[in-house]
Amino acid sequence: MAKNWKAAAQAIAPDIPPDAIERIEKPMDSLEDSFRPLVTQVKLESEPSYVQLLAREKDA
Amino acid sequence: MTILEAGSALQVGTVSSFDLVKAALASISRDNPKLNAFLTVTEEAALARARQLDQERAAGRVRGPLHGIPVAVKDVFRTKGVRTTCGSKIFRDHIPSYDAAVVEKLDAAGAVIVGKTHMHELAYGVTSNNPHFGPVRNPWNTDHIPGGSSGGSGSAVAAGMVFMAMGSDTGGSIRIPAAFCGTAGIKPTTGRVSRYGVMPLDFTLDHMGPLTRTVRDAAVILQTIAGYDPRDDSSSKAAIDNYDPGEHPSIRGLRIGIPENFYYERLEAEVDKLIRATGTVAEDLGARLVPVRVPDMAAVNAISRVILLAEASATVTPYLKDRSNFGPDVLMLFDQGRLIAATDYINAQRLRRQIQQEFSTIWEHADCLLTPTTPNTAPRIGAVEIDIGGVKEDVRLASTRLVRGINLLGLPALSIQAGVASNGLPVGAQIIGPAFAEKLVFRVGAAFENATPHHKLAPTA
Repeated sequence: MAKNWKAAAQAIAPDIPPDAIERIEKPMDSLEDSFRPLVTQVKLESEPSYVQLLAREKDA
Repeated sequence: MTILEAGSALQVGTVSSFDLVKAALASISRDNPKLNAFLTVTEEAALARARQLDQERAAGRVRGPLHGIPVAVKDVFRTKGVRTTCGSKIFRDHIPSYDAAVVEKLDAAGAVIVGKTHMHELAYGVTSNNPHFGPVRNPWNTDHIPGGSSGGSGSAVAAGMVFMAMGSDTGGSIRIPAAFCGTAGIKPTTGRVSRYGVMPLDFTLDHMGPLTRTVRDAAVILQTIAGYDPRDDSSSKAAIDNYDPGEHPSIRGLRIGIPENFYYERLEAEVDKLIRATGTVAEDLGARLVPVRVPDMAAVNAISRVILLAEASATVTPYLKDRSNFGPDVLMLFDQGRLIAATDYINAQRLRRQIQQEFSTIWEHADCLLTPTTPNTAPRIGAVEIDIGGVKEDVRLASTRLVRGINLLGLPALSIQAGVASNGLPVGAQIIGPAFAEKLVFRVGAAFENATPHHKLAPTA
């Protein structure tokens, strides 16, 4: 389901002008199409990767 | 001349640091009006520093391979007392009171910083077509972009103005200009090089690394700037290898992974041809080309974009009150980032961890991966879309398609020149390794350079 970016902007970033919202609708829809299906793949136990601990770092 | 060659000349006394710095400044003076690669040139300070380093050498004190070598740093690195704009109108007159960690290390190693290189506004884009300070131009063809965001660094090194220019890479910003300008450029493993004192774009995707004329020079620089820094929360304590691949590195027996999916799809025909020829060279040198399947890299790119959009917008929040501060392309990205939901950002970081684990299984089958750096050669300045294989693609999304995901994964990736296409523009090959395997990717890149003449080609524009 396509998101209503104008409504979203009105709620959380009302200073973004309407013409600017129109310009970003297409890339936001495209990102939404790519990203939304991935969210269903997040495992319950998965923690966010804010600071990465990569292989050799654990041995340091 | 390379850093290593200049170092030898300094050692035997056929040239002085003062000579090298004078030559760099003359080259900048001659070519910068055409290329716009530098935002600030620190002529007087550089000449004074060169004199001092020559005196040190004469007194028997040699700091190492960078002693007396003229270099530059992207204008995202803070430099004490020297304007640091980040390519932004907001920071047009910003004079930092301290040096970035990388600048400290270069200085301590005896490098002579001759100036600050131009860049895409706030390091947020691939064209370096900057609305506040003008476009940076590609020395191979000045009608074309040098790539970005470290476009001035790519242009300056390719034009021979300096031996090395530092870049930063959040979604390809070292490797894209390296590819478009025909230089070497490495994005190191996350945590390998301190981010302290670098103006941030994205707190979990930013990486610092050099652009140089050769792979061995890039190794010299990484050796100098790598290391733990308690001032950077992401800094790693992992041991630092000896990165120099030596004069005659061997890749015999190495398993070089050639991705069957994603990386070789939808490329400009000549990019495809030249990268496959790179694989053939590696085979001729005794490496084994191993077909591998990579995880869904389009998904990796989507995850990366969610994180970058959200973090970058958070970074500039205090400045967004005045929209006239920003050029239209970066403003569009900041607007997008403000509409990313917090749950989506957190889930993107959770997916990141999952995909890092999935990607790491590749190293059971291959020692490194060989891919194109970009699917295209440098687009014309002002182009918004390019046609690749009959498909119109946004310049930013096309140019970052094969590099962006590696920032999310945190892996080291080196871009080397793979040849020049018939349009006269260079093509970059990307060597991706496991975490902290910079020594390996340098070895592969240096072996390729030894076997081919591409890195010796110089732009004539």
